[in-house]
Amino acid sequence: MRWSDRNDDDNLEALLRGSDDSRLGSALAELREKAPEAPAGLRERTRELASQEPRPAQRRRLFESLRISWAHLGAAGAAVLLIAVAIPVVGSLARTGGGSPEATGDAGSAGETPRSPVEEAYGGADDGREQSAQDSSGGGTDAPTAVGPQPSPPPPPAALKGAQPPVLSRANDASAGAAPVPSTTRAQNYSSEITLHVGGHEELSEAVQSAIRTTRALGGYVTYVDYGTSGSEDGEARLNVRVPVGRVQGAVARFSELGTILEQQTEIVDLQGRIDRITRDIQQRRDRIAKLEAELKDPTLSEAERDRLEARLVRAKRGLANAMRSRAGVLRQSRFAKLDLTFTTEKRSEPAAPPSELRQTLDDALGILAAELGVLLFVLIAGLPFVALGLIAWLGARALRRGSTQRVLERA
Amino acid sequence: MTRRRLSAERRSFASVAEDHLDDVYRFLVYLTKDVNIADDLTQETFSKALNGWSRFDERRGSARTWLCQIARSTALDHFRAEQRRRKREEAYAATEPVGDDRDPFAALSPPLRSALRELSAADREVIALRVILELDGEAAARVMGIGRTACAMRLSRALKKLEEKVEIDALV
Repeated sequence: MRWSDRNDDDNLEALLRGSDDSRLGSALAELREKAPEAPAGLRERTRELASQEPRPAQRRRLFESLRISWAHLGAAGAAVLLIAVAIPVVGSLARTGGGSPEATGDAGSAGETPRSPVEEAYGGADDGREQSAQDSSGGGTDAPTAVGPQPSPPPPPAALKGAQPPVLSRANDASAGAAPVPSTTRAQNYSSEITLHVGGHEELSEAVQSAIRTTRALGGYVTYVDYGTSGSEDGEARLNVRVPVGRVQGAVARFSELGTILEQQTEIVDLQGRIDRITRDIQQRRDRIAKLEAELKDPTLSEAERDRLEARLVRAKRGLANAMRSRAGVLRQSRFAKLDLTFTTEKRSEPAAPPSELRQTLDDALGILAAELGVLLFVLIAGLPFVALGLIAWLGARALRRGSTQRVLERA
Repeated sequence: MTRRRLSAERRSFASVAEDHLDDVYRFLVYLTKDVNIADDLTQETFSKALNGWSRFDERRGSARTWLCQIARSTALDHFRAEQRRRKREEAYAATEPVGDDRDPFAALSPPLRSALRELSAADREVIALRVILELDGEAAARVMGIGRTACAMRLSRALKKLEEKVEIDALV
């Protein structure tokens, strides 16, 4: 029976092992037995060639040293561990490197009442680090008006703000309603916006009336009141009041007791520079007036010259009066702090507690990893067509090479 | 430590050449059917192997497999050069070998000798690797640059042809 007539899977291996007694098996045994041997001349030449083997080069030793061992695996593991530790540490340092957690809005534990950025900057004393002010003329100089339904006050001054993040604290909390201390040596425009939650209509009315009484008791006045209710419980009231700057802390503390603080934002605009400029202008005008008056005492002046000097003197006195009025207005503005109070019965959702240090560190690490994955994904997506093309080209070239080789062997 | 040092030690090229000279020569004889060409190509193979000996890595395959790969590449280069030469000259028949008249299979029985001579180089190659050199399927496939299954199929086809031709020659 022919070997090729048997459809046995083990047929081939048995044949190669020599355990097949077919004619082909005998032929293969003969092939093995009578395989040609290299001639002596070739053997000699090969020995001579092999004797020219160079000594092992340094490169070989280096190559051998690159063989992976347990030490290499341990070093690789340590490197991975180091990177895993370094990422959160670097993230943490990067986050805290720009300033204290308070300065970046981290209020620490939920039990603490965070201090406002302005409070942080002033530190409870005047150290001359007030923010520069934009022109705030037209605001804060209004005369006291009657309480009750009143026309809307003039628009609030535009100013650079020392904004404080939303604060949620109990009014009976000792630290609730803490306000930045105004400077005692520099003129400032002090304004604060406070939003408080009250229980219902009755509490809303009582809070508004109490705020008005408190304002008056502190020597201030109310410039605007807007009181409105809807439904059985919903209601909101807005008050704009002015209180003497020296009593603003007490005012804020007492207003804070009228409800639960939902939001507080304080801004302090320095006015001292503006006052100094006006003061210098006043002095220059006074000097000019004195000079003009001295010139007018000269008896040798002609009539025309005298008329011209008198006209200049009138203009100078008018300018002096304007400058003094302007300075008085700015000084008035700096004497009273502007407080915008909003009482609402609507309970706003409490802001989420600030994440812990560990959580922020993990978030930073995850953020870095996510960014790296994003870049990797982008590279993969962008490079995928090229990789696919390269793969197809490589497969094609390999198939062509194999086909060419096969043809060469078939013809040989 | 001693084991590591021993494993790191490498056989000399001379000992490898001594051990596998016959294998390479037989492989090339079967590929070329010409002892003189096989002689030259064997010499060339070991010359190339010596040049690349520093890059040889025993973990990626045995020295015999590596030498057979070089021998095959050398033989293919020879075949291609020979075909180009034949095309240029157009002086010989396409199947006419270039070499001396010594029959490399003279020691074999006439039917087997005749059958071997009628097989293509591709068939003789796989027979040489699997039967004469007794390489396993994986090593033979690696030498030929194909998959293990393809290698088995090629061997099976080559053996069938050989069997048929041996029987026919025996009948004649």
